Amino acid sequence: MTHMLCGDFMISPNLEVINELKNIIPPTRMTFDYVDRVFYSRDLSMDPTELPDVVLLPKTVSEIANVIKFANKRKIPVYIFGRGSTLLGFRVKKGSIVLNLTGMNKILNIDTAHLTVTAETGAVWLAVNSALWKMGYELSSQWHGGVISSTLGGAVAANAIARTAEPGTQVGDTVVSLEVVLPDGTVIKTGSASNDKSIPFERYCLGPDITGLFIGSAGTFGVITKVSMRIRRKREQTEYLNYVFKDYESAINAVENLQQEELIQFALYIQGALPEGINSKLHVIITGNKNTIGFKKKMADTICKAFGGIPDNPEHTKLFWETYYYSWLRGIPTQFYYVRTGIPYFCPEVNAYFPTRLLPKAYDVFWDYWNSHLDEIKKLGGLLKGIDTFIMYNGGFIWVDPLFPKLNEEAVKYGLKLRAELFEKFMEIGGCPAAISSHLSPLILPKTGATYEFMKLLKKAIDPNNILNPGVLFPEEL
Amino acid sequence: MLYDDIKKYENIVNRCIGCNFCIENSWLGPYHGCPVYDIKEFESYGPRGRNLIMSLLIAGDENLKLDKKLAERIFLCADCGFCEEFCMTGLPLEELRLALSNYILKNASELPKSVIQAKERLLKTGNIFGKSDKEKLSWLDDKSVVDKENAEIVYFVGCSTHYSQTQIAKAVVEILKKTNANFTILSSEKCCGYPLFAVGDIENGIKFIEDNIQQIKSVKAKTVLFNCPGCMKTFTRTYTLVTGKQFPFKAMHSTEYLNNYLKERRLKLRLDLSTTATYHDPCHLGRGLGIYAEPRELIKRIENLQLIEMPRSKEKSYCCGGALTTTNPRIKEEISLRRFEEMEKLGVSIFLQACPTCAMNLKRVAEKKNSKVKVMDVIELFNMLL
Repeated sequence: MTHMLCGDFMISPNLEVINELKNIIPPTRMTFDYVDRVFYSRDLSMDPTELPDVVLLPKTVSEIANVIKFANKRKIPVYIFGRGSTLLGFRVKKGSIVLNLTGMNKILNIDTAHLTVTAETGAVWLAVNSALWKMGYELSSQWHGGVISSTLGGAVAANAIARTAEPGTQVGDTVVSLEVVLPDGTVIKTGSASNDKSIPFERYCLGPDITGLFIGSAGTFGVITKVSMRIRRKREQTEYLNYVFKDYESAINAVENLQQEELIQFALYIQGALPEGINSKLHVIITGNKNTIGFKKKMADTICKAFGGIPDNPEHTKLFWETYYYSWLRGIPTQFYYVRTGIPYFCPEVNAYFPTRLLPKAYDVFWDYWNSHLDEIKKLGGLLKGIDTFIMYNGGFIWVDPLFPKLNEEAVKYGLKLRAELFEKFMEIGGCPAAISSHLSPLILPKTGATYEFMKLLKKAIDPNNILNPGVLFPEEL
Repeated sequence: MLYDDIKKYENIVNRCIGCNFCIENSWLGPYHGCPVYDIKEFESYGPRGRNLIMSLLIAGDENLKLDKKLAERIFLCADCGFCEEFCMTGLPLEELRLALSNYILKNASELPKSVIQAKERLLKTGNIFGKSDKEKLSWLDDKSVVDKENAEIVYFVGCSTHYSQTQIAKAVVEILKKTNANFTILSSEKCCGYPLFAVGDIENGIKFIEDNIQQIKSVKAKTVLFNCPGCMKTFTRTYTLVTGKQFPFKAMHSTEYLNNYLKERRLKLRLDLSTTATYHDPCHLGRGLGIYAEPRELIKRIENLQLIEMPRSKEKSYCCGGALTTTNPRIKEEISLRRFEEMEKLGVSIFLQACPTCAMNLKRVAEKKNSKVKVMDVIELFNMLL
């Protein structure tokens, strides 16, 4: 067991506290059950955590605001939980409250005139996108893979990676306005929506970009309760391309040219777990209308071939895009992909943004590290699920997925050490990790020096009692 | 016994990667696929919660109390199979649920009353309703079809049809007669064992299946016809899962039988007035047995009847409450209501399905709501027209 088990409560024996909470949230949406406390104590990582005392399922903004006010008065830590679908080491503290926001999942308004959608924080990305598709629209930020079942609020708070190569369509880029409950219980709106007489349509107005403060803040500055995001007309047509490259320099040269020509909606460069003799593959997805798509496809094909790309089976790219199953990136049906050796693995994921030109260096650093540790990794049963790079318009988001046996304590410990070391190595060569959490933030954020001090200053000013997600981005003692 | 040691599931249950595809139906908008999660809204009530409980049990976590509350949570599953259908890692979630319920049944300090009573009723009377044997065939006018020795087909009626949805049983018998089938119904038929599997009693469930198999063997028939997908799945899929043995007869659902008959004869039927209908895919017929096409082919054979698909149909179908009829009727009613309301939004006149449990659950909602929509089994409709 990796949990620091604590059967003892700080809140629950205190009837007065429980009754006060019951005045805010009905008992049917409040649980002290051990199973729930374990379930909502961490994300999908294997990092140690503690257990909250209670998990609440709020349904309204005022319920959230009242819980936060109550917690502030009592100085009880509050942790914000969406789908908990990250692999980044989110942990909670003993004696805390977990606010499970998935119950707030309504799509509130689809404004096709001003190209925005407003949804409650717990609305699931694919649910929102599907509702838009029915009307001929889609979110401007198109994601793919397992993350489609993450919540909009969670994706914004964690600064989730957009799977997009188009300029201005990363998740954060497309947030127009937020509604946020601050750590003192005040409810604010950002962007044009902060004017009660207006609507959410423009982010950069009425003073500084307050919206940006909450993107990637991992719930430390406030609880996001509503999200307004940019939408666009659904692209009429989609084309799929897939190339094998003999080395990554050639592939990245092709990527750079694709970026410069602004041809692609999405591209994913993959290494590891590929058939013998294949160094890397590039999946390319092109969207557009019937007048432009043929030209875009031809251009992209010419570029990839010019850099030595050998066309491969685009059906796999299509299956990945249409079914959302990652396994198709490597041409494997999902039921076989995750079984491998038949034992359960955990994934101490490592990630970072890199500018395009730095990508080859990042791969070198990774492979040098991996190969020099291969004996130990193999001894512990570790393997590489893959090193995948989501291509942005001017860089790439590298996502390293090592796998270690989940039930082997030594292997888990080693996997977590490997993750920490690789994060530090990526930072050293100019990588910029995103979507970080409790166990990684102390390694990463202090390296930003004065910027980190400024972040802490902001946190102290906004949340003097440090009740909101303490320890997730900033230390428990500020 | 297959499920005696849950530790053997350690490598399986821990393979969950937390993608949440087991509870989500977002392809269609803001819907949840897992009906229990849909009502309870804590993800820990869904398959991931059960996986967590199993992994804590396997790890020997002493903080986990095997009390009534935990047992209630584990039996709070509609057994609709949505989770297994979409699991990204291909986990055998149905098997895991069965193994966990079996473990809880044997080890919990206290069990929910509904579970104890269901088991007692079944063991005492041989049917889930606890009715006397005399009532079993009371709906059948022509008793000459009972226990015919040289029948080619055994019509396995099942508890829900025998004791609750008797109009479906009558329709099946009439259709079998109209199509000149050489069939019989066994007076010794007892519950297929499904409700026992639903409460984790695998050992007694197997006994019920095998008792029925012995009875069917006595009439030398090669085909067993079911109108209840739950019974059919129990005999074919569950039996193989828990024993490794095959059901020794050809199993056929009533919609398959009728569709084959009409297809061979190229028959079309006609409604006098133009009307609209939707079809609810029963979980055990669709995800459980993979029968999606036959009911639709049948419905399309009726002229003047327009089929409007439900937003959640085929493999994404939403449960009617299913197995919760036995273990948690209150939650079941909430689920049935949600499914019924989804149908109402389509504005159709007929709500078709092909399962007596679905009929029972959905009709109850229709009655409560005083709805004008006609809830009926596909077979009932065809019996009216054939």
